[in-house]
Amino acid sequence: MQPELGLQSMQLVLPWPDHIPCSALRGWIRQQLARHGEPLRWSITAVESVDQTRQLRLEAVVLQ
Amino acid sequence: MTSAPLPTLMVVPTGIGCAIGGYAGDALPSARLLAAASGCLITHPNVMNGAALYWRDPRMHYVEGYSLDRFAAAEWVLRPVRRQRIGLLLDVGIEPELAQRQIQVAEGCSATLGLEIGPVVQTDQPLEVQLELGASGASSGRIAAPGTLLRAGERLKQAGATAIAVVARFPEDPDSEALAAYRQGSGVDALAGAEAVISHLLVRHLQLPCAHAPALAPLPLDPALDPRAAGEELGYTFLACVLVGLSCAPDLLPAAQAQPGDLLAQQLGAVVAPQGALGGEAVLACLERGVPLISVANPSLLAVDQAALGLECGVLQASSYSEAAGLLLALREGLAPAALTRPVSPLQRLP
Repeated sequence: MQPELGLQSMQLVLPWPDHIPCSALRGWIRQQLARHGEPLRWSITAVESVDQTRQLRLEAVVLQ
Repeated sequence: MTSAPLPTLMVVPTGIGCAIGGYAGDALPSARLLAAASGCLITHPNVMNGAALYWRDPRMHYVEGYSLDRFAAAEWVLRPVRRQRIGLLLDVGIEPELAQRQIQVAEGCSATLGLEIGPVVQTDQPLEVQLELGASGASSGRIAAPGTLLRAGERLKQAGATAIAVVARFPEDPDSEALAAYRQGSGVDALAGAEAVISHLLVRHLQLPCAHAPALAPLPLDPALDPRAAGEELGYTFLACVLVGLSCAPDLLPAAQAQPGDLLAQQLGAVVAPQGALGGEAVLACLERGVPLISVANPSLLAVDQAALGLECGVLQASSYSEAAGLLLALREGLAPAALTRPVSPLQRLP
């Protein structure tokens, strides 16, 4: 039985919490993406400084 | 060389316009060098696929991008095999003559290269590939009917295929500026993102080695064609490299089923990635476990580099893949890379 799948492209801007080190970033990002669907393909495309905080720009395709 | 191989992950993200690896398998010479230096290179189809051009080396493991991410995250292991039986999955949206070209390439690879290929199935409806660009300019895309792709893949798996080569009809705009730029060695491979989504879907669902080749009509001769793009304009298809790569791609198994002889993420001795493209899942997974990262100067659209990620130390910088190979050799031989540069820092004294 084939599940009916949909694909959704998305671009997210997420503030990077100070308590999340780079070594924990992958798991944290997957949690954020999971709110929208199952991550199929994703990447950080930019890291920006805004008001002395860091922001992550993500581009992703998720399954819904 | 007597030192044991140093399993190494080589990542060149597709669809971001990397100067090395953003075209038709043009990262393959670099991959061959890293394979020689490491003795065991795990990399993905974007690095290995030169359309009509390819290279086979037992030290190089052809691992599709989704499975590469799962491997790097220690969720899956890689089991080397002697031979895969490659099922051929054709988009029913490919016009009959172009579909026949794909089959003839497969038959040629069977007769001339000794690859085990078959059966062939078509999707029950067109895949309808949609190309997209992210805000960064990176290539992405989707298909309208994921279910039809997965149904065809399941038929092949049930028929005994142990790997799947998928060919989807891609939209064409032969007069586009983007295509002209790509053919002349600039810009982004506009097809790459959608190709990745297609193979990712199949690998996620079937846990079989899979790779994709687009079906496109041949282009008119361009005397100014960039050499890096030339591999894609030598024939009627992009399929040969995919079949060769899949023919000995490792099996993909859950980590809990690991056996002696399998390749595990815990064995990785290094990961090599372009300097500004460190934000992908495989690289981040390696950073979680402290795998040494060799960051290579290889310009692309992105600037997610060591500084952006706050990696203040521990990243080895290479100005070229030649230098990266030297660093891999150092790691393989147990040499501290710092001993190979000047000045040599004095020993740290603890208070």
